[in-house]
Amino acid sequence: MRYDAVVIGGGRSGCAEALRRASDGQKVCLVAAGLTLHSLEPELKGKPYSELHNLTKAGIAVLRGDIVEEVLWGATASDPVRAVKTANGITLEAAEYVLATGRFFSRGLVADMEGVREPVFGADVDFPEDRSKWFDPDFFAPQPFESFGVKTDKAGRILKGGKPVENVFAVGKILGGKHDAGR
Amino acid sequence: MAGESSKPTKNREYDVIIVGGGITGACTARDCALRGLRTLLIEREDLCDGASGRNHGLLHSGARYAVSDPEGARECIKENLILKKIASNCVERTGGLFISLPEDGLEWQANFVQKCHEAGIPAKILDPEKVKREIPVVNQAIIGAVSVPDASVDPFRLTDANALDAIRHGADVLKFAEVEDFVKDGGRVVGVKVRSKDGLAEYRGSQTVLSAGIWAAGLAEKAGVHISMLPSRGALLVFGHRVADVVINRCRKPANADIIVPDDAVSVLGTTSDKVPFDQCDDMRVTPAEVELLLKEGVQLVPCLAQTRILRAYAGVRPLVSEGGDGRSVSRGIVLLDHEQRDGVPGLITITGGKLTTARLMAEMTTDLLCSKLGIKARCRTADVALPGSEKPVRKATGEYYSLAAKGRHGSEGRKMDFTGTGAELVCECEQVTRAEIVYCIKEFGVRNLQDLRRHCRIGMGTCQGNHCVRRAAEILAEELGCPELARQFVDDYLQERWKGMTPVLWGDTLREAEFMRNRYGRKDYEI
Repeated sequence: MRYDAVVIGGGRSGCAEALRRASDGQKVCLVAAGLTLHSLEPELKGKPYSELHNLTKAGIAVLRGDIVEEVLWGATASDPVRAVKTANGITLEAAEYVLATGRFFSRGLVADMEGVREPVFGADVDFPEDRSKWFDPDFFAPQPFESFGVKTDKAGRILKGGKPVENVFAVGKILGGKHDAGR
Repeated sequence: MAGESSKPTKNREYDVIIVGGGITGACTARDCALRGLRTLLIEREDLCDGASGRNHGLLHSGARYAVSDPEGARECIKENLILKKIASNCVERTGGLFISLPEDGLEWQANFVQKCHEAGIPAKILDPEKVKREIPVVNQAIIGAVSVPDASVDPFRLTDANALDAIRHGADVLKFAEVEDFVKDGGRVVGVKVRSKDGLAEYRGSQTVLSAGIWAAGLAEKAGVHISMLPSRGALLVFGHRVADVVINRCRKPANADIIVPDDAVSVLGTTSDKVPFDQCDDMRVTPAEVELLLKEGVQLVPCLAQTRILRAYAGVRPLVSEGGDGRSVSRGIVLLDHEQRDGVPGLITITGGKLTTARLMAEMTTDLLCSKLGIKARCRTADVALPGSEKPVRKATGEYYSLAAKGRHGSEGRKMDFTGTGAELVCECEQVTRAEIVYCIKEFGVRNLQDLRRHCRIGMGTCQGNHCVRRAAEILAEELGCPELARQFVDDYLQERWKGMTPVLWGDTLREAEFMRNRYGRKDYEI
């Protein structure tokens, strides 16, 4: 099965990206970890995204309750991604992939004592090594960990080992500070 | 507890004023009240705010001290058996293990068991293969294991129960009031000057007891008495579930992070031991270095701790009386100072050192001294009379499912809760706290805020760290206190306090929880 784009992540940014690409005439598949695509954003108060109803209408294939578990890379590490495989065993091929998996809560970024990593593509992540710089002691102050995100080039392609991956883009909260600054 | 009945009456003359409402002060207040002394207990914060509430919650069998401090070990096993009897609803008889790893060798174990037996501690050598099979989380490299009667004790509940019993026998308890100075008559201490939100007040008593932990040193100075104390800081980690159902210790010379204790729904690993200056005794933030040390050692006991969610980190300060050394080699024995004898300051006594496990004994020793000074002949009964909640040991709580957790926590006191109507509403899912239990705690213990409330019923102490229940609890508290406008303040303050414990372990699922919490409450105008 080949698409123009596979969007990974069924949050607000993932849905918006899928719709934007579909309205440009692309064949899009959206992989959403959640079954209902509910929001954690306070302003949406847990209501499903209204865009959701438009996804199927726009011809977007939606895989609910599934995540990307494996990436099939090209011959060398710097080559573009050939396909991704989901936990449910579905292989999705596309010209472009969009990472919209969000931050920590949605597991777009995973932190342990050693540091922060991006689990799907292993994209480079921007964060300070000193863990005491991850937070502000005042709970209500902006928290540094909320601006952690994957590194990208000017075109929005993720960096891996300092080099852009040709056909993988990142959108939404996983962009960290760059995302919030643009809002 | 701070209900009107227990508040000090103006101009009342006391036999004893006890300064410091930790476990030692509460036990002393109970002993004094049971012996008929007119007693006032004063605490600057809520009960159990200091070291009494910042420890493992371990009821020592004494085994840990059997080799290094045989006297302390004998005290522990005696008190261990007494508390299991008089405070059955505060104690969980988990049992304890002392495991030997290859690098520890078995020589220490042989001597350890011998010393345990000499101290009267029933220590039994187990087959390590059987232990590995029965407790799969234990380090599978163990070459030896010994069982001892260690147990888990809830220090908050134990302190509450002692204070409640003191009040029921006529004592007054004054919380949220700080002793600023002593009232003196010639060289004699005849009372205290106390600062609270109501202003400055004076209370008079024939004898004053300092049971203020590490803070006793500073108070004593104001009476012209020097106590050479060594503040020894200990940091601990709370894991998100009960990793094992027994206390697990390392069978070697006591060191860092070599005990893990099951406490209610969680496990607590600790501790470190670091000498700190007095001006840092009120700064309880845990450092990344402490967390790393705790985990590095903790995984030797239970390797899966490396992957287990850590809910928070906290620290307390042991009140050791200083003789130099690193804080662990100093005797942790009970120190009772009669300042009339020692310093020529009549009317003042200090009780310090000791352990949570031996607090009742410390109180007995203190009250014996008080009685001899006051010329009162009354026998100590605290070892025989059960504490409130434990009068009729509840082997298994019965009733509607939503009342079981409360009955488990409060024992026979659970009868005073009204689970009808809205009382049955579940407020805190993690710890199964209902509205009925909250209302009981607010009335019985005179809480000011949610931090106080959690000490009495564990609200917000579970995996969500208050994320789900804090708003509901704040509403009930504000309503019960008759000041609905305070609800938002309660939530703000509670979250700041929880944040302090979460930030040192801000990775993995705790970081996920933090992001969720920030989404919910991060903006000051969050919906209440």
